[in-house]
Amino acid sequence: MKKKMSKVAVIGVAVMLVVSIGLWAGGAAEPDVPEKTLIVAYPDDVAHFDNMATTAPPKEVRHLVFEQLYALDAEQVPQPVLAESAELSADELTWTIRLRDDVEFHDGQPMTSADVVASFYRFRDVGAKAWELDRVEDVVAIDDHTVEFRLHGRFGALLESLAGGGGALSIYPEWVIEEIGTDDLRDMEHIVGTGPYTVDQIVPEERYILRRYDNYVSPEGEPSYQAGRRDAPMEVIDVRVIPDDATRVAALEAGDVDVIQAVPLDDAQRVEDNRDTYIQETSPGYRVYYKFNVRQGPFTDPKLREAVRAAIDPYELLAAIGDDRFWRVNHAMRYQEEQWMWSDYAEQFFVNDLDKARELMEESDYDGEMIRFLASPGRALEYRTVIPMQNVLAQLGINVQIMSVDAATFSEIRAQTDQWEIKHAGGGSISMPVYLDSSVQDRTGERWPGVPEEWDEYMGIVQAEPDLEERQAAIQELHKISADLNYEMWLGDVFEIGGARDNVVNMPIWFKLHLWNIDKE
Amino acid sequence: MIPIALLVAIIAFFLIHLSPGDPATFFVSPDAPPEELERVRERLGVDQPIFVQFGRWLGGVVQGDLGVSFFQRRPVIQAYLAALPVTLMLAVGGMAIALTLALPIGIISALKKDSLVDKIGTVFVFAGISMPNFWFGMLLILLFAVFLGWLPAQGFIRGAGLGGYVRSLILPALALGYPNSALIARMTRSSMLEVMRQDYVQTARAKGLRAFVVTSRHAFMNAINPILTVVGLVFARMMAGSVVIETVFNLPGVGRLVVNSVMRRDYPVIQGALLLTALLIVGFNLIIDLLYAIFDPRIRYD
Repeated sequence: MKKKMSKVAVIGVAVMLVVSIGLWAGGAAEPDVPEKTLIVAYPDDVAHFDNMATTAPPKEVRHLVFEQLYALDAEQVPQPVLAESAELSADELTWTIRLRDDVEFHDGQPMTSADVVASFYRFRDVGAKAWELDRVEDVVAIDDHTVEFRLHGRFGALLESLAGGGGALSIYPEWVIEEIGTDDLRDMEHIVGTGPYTVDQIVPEERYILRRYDNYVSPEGEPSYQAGRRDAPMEVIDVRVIPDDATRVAALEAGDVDVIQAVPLDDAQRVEDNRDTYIQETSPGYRVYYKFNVRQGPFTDPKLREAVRAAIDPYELLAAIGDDRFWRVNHAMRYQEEQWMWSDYAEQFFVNDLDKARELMEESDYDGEMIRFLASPGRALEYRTVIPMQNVLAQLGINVQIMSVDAATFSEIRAQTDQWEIKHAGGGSISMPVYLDSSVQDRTGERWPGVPEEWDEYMGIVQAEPDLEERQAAIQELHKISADLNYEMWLGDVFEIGGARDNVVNMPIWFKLHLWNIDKE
Repeated sequence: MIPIALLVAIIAFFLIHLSPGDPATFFVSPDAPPEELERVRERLGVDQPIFVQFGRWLGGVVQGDLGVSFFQRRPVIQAYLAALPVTLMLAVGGMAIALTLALPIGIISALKKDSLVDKIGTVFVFAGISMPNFWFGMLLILLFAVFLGWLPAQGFIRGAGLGGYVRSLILPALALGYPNSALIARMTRSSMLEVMRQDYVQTARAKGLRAFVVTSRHAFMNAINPILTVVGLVFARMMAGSVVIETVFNLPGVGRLVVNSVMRRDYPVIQGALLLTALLIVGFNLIIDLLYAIFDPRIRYD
């Protein structure tokens, strides 16, 4: 009897194992994998492909499938992708955009003005950055390949808004929009773009198989960030989701994958030293800075803010991030590579003078109250600067309590200005100058107190003025105002690092890991 | 089971909602205006008062609908059932490793009590339980995947076939099974020592039965119930606690699903996964209780 029952138990476990395998394996079959396959690991799940409705990373994967009218080049200048040209009317209230006539959706249908119009109206309802096109009143088809963007106010920055990355206006076929309306773009049959790759298989949180669209016609021009030629040399791009940093690096070293995004700075040397792999530094893709709460608390006092700024050595703070090959000091609000960069004031920004800082402390109204320092290890890069920053504050005699919370909590608390006095901040490339407005707002969108009226005047020019020089001049003025206000302390930029096996060529050198030109030897 | 499920449902819902964090922030750009954030909150349904959200969710649960994942955009039950087999396979594989190590070590340690073999066995299993399993996992990856290249460093590929699954499972099962073998080995040792002192074992020896038969049939089968209890506990721990191994080896199991969902405040997935895992563990304990009766006919459930 006992023997029989033992057998039953053993058989039970075996059946459980087999059923598990069956259940799990039944979900999807191994796709046909050609020789020209690039296996790429990202830390984030693609989640969904509705490119106009989300800004979540990795947008580079969605960009393989969906395209926009314009895309930014490495200097943050909009370049045509699905568009051919754009012209602003004399009254500056209508942009006429001519579309390329050789663009085809993945269902074989040509892209026309009707698709652009339908995409715009869906974008207005569901677009993650719909507010950027608030000044557009209507989009009207003039003929099959010409559309007019009719404005209710001057909007010189339209092309930049159209060129913004994830969450900007992507062009979907009109029939897809008629079928899904404002619902999620979820079903495979609806994921129809104009990009160099089509989606072949989706396994959420695990794997995304993209196959080259053979009728794809690339935009022209030298590749530069999101703009220029898209060669699509690989037949299949197999995207794997590997959230853990160490595992992602090990997968590259073991040859499980060809390319990884976001090599942790601590592992960069290891990847570099491995004879089978290399790292690819890119243009800086992340800004590290600090924000003061100027609505309430001790940092409403400009002398105290000035004292902190005077005591900071930005090199020391950024050194906590890692090897100095992968960061640089930059006190401007923009990257040096951009047309919007202006840093004439930067040299006198951080004086690194502790005596002067102490004098300023004496002049301030600070009387020893506790400063709540909001930080999150979920923001790995800037979090590393927290301890040196705490030391700076302590040297000045400021009492600091670090509030270390997870990323989701951080996102919520930072909007509550009664919960913190100083916090770290960071962010990716800022795609357009109108985002400078966030420098003088709290997270609820409310203006910080004390912002001069000139700010709105210059922001108006940045948004409305089509003349590049006038806009650049206005941005310089905004930089100056921001530096005088000292609500934010911009420390520097951190470089993105990709990793690849040694047979991988044409790794991108700009902000993000765009895959359309990567090849394998 | 129903009261336990209800209790778990209530605790799961309110615990996750009491912790700060807003899932809507993961859908909009950091610079988006507040109206944009509010629109997303509305779409996700997290703009409603907490009791309204709870009522809706519980109403769905009693009808078998656990809701839809905010991020994966698919029903929670579908996301869970896609992840569960991976965790089950990992736990079964880990248990197979744990039993393969623990039973011989426990039995031999009991038979050779206080000998060098006993001490080596004890050190071996305690080394396993003393090592953080993520560290042990990384060591295995470095040795067998990076340096030797024998096994994949991470992940499972659906459709890769049985051979592919087994190759992917060996390292994580080892990383999960070895540290968990200690408890089973110690229980086997002490339970065997207890039984070996019994008269019927001495009688079996006196009758001239072979040592192997005495140990396997007369001693081990009578020592098995306490071992079974520990096996049940360890299996439940493996099921619920495989999250670290799933993260290190990038296995798309329930643990990783829950952790990702917690990080992103994907409330429907967290609530659903906790509820289903609790039910699974209660069910598993029920099976263990029934197995007692199979292995020990003196135990009967009326």
